[in-house]
Amino acid sequence: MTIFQKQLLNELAAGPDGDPISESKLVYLQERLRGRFFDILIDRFELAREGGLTQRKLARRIRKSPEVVNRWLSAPSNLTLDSISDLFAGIGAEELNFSLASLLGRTPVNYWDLDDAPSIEEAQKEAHEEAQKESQPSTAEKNAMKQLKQEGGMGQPKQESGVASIEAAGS
Amino acid sequence: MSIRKEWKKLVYVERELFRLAPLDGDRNARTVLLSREMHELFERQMEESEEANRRSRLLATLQNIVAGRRLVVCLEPFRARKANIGRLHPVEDSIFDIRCLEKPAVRVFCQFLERNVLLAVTCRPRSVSWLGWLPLGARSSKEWKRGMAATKLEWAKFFPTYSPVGGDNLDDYLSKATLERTRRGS
Repeated sequence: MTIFQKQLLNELAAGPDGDPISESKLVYLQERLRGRFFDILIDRFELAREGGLTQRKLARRIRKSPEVVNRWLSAPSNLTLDSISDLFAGIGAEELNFSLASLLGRTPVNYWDLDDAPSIEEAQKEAHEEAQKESQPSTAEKNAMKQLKQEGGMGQPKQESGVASIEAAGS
Repeated sequence: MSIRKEWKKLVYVERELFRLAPLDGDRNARTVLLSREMHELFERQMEESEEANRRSRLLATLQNIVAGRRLVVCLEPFRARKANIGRLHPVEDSIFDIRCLEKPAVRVFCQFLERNVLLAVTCRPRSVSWLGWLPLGARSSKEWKRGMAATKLEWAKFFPTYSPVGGDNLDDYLSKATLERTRRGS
């Protein structure tokens, strides 16, 4: 967890009698909300587009110019409560359903989705093991070294240089 | 070694790059890797100020990417208007900027290591100085060139034998992304 996030959660957890929440944390939450709203809105629009809706059609339905609708669908900062209401009505005859979720006491979710490791600790372990594997000769390389030794004629200095070159090739 | 193994090693073993975590409870649908410079920007203590507010907006913007929120992308240099991510000129360099649009705006120079994995290298204010950085200004300014050069240098340092994701297929870069619509489009 970043220092910023720790501070944010501490400030929020202080409750109604705590110090005022810092402006930078409020700004962070505002930006986050804009992103969440926009995400839902564009998802709905993309779905409706597959069914034949266009920005032009949507604009006509909600009595706005295509330029205005284009602006609304281009960036979260262009949205107001009124424009959100118009857009959801025009896109799919819908209104937003509100529910609130606490920002406190959450647990990190699905930290490592790229390879399904269940936690950051597992991911770190995997990466360490991988790095260790990469820095050691493979079984095939070990066998090759063994064979070279058995074939004889290899003095100690040559053996050392053989190991070094195999390690270099493996990294 | 695959590029995924390389960046995991750089994050978890060598600690040269830093993985941006989302706010607890959010999904981790994409990966934003931070250079040391970007990591230190988010870890440093800052007095309450407009500069700190800008950093907060930037952090939320990057975490929106991590959380897998819908992104608008412009692959045509100089044509991005409201896109979250835009490709920079020349396209052969495969360098993008993450666009924190709330004014005063900030840009983050980045490259894609693989689908849904970005390396955020450095950031610059768009038109108002910030934390000692000069604004990017006009498209051919020295600051744009410096940002591009820093991004290329970081790539060459960490991934010299790999190329960043390139090409014109949006799906190669990101899931849940749409191309920026022009006024002519639908």
